[in-house]
Amino acid sequence: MSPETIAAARAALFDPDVFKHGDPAKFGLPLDAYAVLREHDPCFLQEFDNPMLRERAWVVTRHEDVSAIDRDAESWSFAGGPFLLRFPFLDLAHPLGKPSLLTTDQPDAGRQRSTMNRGFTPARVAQLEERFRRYAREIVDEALEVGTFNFVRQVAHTMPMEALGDVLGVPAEDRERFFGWVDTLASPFDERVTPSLEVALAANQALMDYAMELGGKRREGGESDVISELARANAAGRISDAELAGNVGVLASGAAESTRSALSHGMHQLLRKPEQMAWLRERASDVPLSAVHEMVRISTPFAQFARFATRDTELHGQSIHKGDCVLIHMASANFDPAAIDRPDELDLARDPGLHVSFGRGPHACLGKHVAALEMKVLLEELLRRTKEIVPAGPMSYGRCFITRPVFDLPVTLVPA
Amino acid sequence: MRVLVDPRRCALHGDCTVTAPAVFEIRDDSASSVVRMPEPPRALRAAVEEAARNCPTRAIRIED
Repeated sequence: MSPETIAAARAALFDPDVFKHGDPAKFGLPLDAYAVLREHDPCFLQEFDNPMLRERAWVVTRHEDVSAIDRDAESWSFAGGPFLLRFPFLDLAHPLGKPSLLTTDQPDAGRQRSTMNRGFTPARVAQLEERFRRYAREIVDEALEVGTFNFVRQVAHTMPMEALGDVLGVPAEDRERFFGWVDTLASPFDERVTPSLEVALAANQALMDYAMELGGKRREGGESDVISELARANAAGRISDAELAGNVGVLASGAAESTRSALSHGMHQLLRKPEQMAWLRERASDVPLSAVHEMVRISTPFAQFARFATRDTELHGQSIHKGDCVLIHMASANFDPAAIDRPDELDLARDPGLHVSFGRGPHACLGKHVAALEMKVLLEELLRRTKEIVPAGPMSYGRCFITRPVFDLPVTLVPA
Repeated sequence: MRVLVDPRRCALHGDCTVTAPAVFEIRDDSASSVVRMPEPPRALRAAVEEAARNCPTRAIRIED
């Protein structure tokens, strides 16, 4: 393998235009670059010359290494924040920085998680099914009326916004702007979404202000939503004001954009694979969890996460020092043939327990059961009410290498 | 086979209750996943092993 090939593969992972112009046959991902790096350069140091990003990070691409680091929270800290991107509210060195689940290790992470996790257990989430189904029916009703539309905005955006709005306890009339702030924050490389850094900072400020305001209102009430639980923990002195705001920000940012990406990539690939669409249609009365997880795998809504070494260590001959940032590359791990059979194929019946999109360690996605139920219910309603879903024009990807937005996915619904 | 959940490690991720619902349960008032069937039959062994392997906080132990 020539040094030029390896250098080109490394560069592809962090070039937003590579993702904007991604190949739909490869899920919009630089799969060939991942394969080169997994085989020949499984741990390398990458420098970044961009004030929005960390200065340098080790990049780890094999499923085995990604899983091991993700599961070992004692050797790999969260204290520096979870992303390559320095989101202001997740950056404790920034004036807007707030401590949260995603900037904290044990025992603080456990203390914070325990104020929120009851609302996210499978049993509690299952109780939401009827409400989710009502949202899904309304979304499909409206979509059928419009007929031809951008699936990303019309369907994939609305479902998580309403469902998560319910779980978190964001009033219906505030949901569009609440999740809108996160969208602005999460797409710093796409001028169509985020025109400038100032706009992103203003969105960040607005999100934190709103979180404090809503938290303040919920300290007394008896509601069972997650923000109310956080607010009561705050009133009881179990979490600080800053932790309340930080965690509301984390809940907002983890929730909507990622599920929208998974639904959009999932639908896009179903349109490309008629036999997989037919398989799912046959199961529209009870969409299997495996199908949902396969969409979460191929979309990998967060392409990589950051960790920080808590001690000097060595990996594939590289010396990693205490405090160094390591990027565990979830998208590459999700397509590693050493862990996942025929990873480049969409297979809705695949074992759902292999992908790393939700994380596999103590910091694994708090909302994974909510996301899975939202997607299942929406797919069931959509497939039952349509005879066919057909492409209605060229699709396009978002310009980002950290999150995985689909920008445009025009479709036409043919009613059942 | 005997199944144990360490309540100090469990953080209510709940994956075990999806993988092996006959064996694990999280009730509304429980602070950790509860083993409702401490000695599951052989037929459930694979599911229990998967739950233990995938537990994000390594809170599940199997004793033979």
